[in-house]
Amino acid sequence: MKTAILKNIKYIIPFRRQLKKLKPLTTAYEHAAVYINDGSTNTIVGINNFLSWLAPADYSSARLSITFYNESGHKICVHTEKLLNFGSSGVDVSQVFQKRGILSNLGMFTVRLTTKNPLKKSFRELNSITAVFFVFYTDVNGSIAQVHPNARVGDVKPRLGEWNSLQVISTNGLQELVLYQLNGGNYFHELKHFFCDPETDKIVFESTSSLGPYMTKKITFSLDDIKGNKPPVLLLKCDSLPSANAKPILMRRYLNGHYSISHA
Amino acid sequence: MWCMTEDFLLKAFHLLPVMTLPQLGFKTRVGLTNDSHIVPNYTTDYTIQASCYLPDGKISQFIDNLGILKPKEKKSFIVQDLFETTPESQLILFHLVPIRLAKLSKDGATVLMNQDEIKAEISTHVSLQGHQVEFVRDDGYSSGVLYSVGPLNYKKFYSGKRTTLIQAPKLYFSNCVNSFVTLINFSPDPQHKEEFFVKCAVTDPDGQVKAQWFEHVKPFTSIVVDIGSKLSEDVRSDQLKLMCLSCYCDEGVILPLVFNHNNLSQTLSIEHTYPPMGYSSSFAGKLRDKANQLFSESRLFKGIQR
Repeated sequence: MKTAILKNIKYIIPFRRQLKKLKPLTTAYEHAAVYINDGSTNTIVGINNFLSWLAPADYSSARLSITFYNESGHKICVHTEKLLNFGSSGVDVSQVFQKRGILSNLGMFTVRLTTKNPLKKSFRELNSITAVFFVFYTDVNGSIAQVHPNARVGDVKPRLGEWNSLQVISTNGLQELVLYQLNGGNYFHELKHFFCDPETDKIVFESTSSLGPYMTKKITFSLDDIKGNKPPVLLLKCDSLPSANAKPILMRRYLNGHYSISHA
Repeated sequence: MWCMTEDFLLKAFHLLPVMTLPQLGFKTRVGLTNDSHIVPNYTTDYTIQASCYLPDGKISQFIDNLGILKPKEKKSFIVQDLFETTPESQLILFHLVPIRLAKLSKDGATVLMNQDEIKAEISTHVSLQGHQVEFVRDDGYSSGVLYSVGPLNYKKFYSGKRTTLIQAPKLYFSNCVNSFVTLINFSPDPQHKEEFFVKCAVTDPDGQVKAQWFEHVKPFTSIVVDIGSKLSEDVRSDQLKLMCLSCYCDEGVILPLVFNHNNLSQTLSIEHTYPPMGYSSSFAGKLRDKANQLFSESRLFKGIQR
């Protein structure tokens, strides 16, 4: 056997090199994001067939697959559709659930884009891809918001050490701060979110949560609960995120009933 | 090979371009953060400076010291409190000048460093620290986004061909929701004179082109493009409709931000786009050049004239 391999090594090495070149297009990782579907706020997932942009030599369609989880981390459905060449889709979460008779106010979802022809040269040259999408939130009072995904699922682990949001949160006109935190890891994770007054370093709100695999939690802080003078500005921190970049999305609810949402 | 650069601008190491949005009635507020302590070798105080440009790209005012930003600190400014602004969108450039490097400067404006050191400094500053840009109403409502950028269009940092490829499936339209894109052409180099022509197209979910045009973006300007005005009226209905924006420029790097605006509730959403390498880390070099050319010649932009 050894002799045979050594005898044919001059054929085996180029063959292995050729095999490596035929490595099909794969998915690098999947992003996760939060959907809100509580009867007041709806979520639309916007995504394009980005293979048309990155590999314009090819005119093929792509397959979109969105996997939804409920608040408790259970997979509740998978939505699939075809995206045409230079096509896109705004997937309305409430419509997806309604068609399937699913009731779920809150949870996370992951997105994958694949092609029927992963061995095509123009796709193989990309090696691996990650579906980037944008999450649009809209409510019955006319609030709108849009965020890109941050957190990943799959090969992730808890991010150790304190995380500090880059945001400077003005309290002018604010009624509530709401955090939507997901756990993209397949493990339990306990974490504490807190808001501080940067002038005094005093913690104004804090909340401890325990999140199971793929769970999502809504954490609400009312500005009315602040004792004493309301600080003009608040900072958000977390003692340990469920994974790198799995920062919560932050909703600012204002006294006039509108909200805005951004990545914390 | 060791390479010296004599005159790398101190202002180029860490900057934040923002724009005003008077057309929609919002003020612009920035929240700057110094997280340089995260990488101890790069810990530094910053001197905050800001340049305000008129809608035609001419500089109108420069503030050379808005304070010192120490590690772990944040500072907030409302642009309209710093500068007199006009009814048209303007570019404001905030510069965070690293004091650690400024101490090495002989002329107070540039610093002598080799290319590797410059790359390491800039990638550290940019990757560590996003900053907050918000659009604010008088009643306190605000909507914002976090981002960080390198010294775009600065030839001492970016050599070779510079291109912009934008794909944004984030345009929404209805009876009360419209979408805008702002395109910013800037550089930390005050001698930057390049005008950029950007091919733009809007496609519906079936990939059909609904609008296509060229945008002309002069240096040091931020233009606001009302995408709804480029489309036919049938995009307006009770139902929200998604469209995708595509842009391509092979002359330089443009910073885009996409806004959605509800004109009944006066609410706003803002997001930056993802660079192509966010979709595939292999999209670089010759592969990117070839794909860019094919994209530029694709049916999305066929027939549009400058």
